[in-house]
Amino acid sequence: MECKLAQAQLEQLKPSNEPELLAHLRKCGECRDFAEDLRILRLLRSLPAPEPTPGFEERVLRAASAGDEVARRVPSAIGWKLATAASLLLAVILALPEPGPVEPVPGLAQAVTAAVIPVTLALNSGRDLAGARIRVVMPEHLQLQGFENQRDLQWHTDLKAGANRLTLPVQRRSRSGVETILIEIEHNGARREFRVPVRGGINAQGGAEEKVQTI
Amino acid sequence: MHRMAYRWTQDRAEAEDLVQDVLTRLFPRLDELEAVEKTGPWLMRVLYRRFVDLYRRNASSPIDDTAEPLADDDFFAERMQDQRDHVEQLILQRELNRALATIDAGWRDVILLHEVEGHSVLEVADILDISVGTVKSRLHRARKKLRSALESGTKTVPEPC
Repeated sequence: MECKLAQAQLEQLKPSNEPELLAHLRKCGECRDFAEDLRILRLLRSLPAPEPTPGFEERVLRAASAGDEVARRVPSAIGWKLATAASLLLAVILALPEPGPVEPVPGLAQAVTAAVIPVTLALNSGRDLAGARIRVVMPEHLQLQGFENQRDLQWHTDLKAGANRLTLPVQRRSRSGVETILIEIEHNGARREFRVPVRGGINAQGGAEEKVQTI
Repeated sequence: MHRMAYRWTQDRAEAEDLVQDVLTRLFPRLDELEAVEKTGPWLMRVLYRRFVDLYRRNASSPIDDTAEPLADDDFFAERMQDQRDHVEQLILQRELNRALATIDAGWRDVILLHEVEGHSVLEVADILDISVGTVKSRLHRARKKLRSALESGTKTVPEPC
């Protein structure tokens, strides 16, 4: 047996090796090294690591938002926004910018009932995730602008490799303490949940106290 | 980020502290983060630099006895309790984790980023701020070192009772 064929067979991950391959390995040091490197590589790729302890994401959010006083302008387009960027392995809630009250559209009579707090997430994906399901569950005291009567929203979308931005136009229904939005992303049976705490209430000028949160 | 922080620190609480520290510091740099094309490797580079600042530089200080991380055997012991069907695999993984802790930190970094976490050689070079050639040579040496560390360590898996 030639080394090339032996190494190709070793890469095939068979439960037991052919007698011919074993005979080749007994006499070929180079292929034995190759087999050992392959074994170590497979072991390295399977090295486990623990999950963070419960509440970790919330603790990080609190620590990050408590330490930051930077005010940011609301993006002009408030609403669902998915652009390119990131992985189910990594979710970064980029910004909860200081909104200021939403400007009413000139000519329209309806009043803005509550200021919008845009919560922007960057979902970082290592690869394209076609048809991923995104689910957002709103807590009792928060609502999404345009979906006032729906607390549980789901839709499918294609997430690109890299960062995918998602901006939630959050409105507070009433004064309350910390409220947590549940975001669930599912693709081909793999599922990840993120809990996004939103704290603070509407201030006297109608703007929100909340600024930025990061996971 | 937490997973890689754990691989570097080999301690669950330290990993959480490190990630929290990095993300809190990133907060004022959100504009910069939004402009980054590949967020994963960028964040990894920030995490690595902070890890070096907090851990490796302290380790060389005469008044700080913080050493290079030791293999987190407790984690494997817990998993062995939980996954009794996979004890053999876990023993091998624990041996490998111990072997990783014995090799040079620079070699370990490239193995962890490239082989374990799957970053490309180019990304590893960028994260660690070294050349592609250095990444490749470290990979080669680290693999060789790991092989000999595993050969000299305890590789025998106990027979089931």
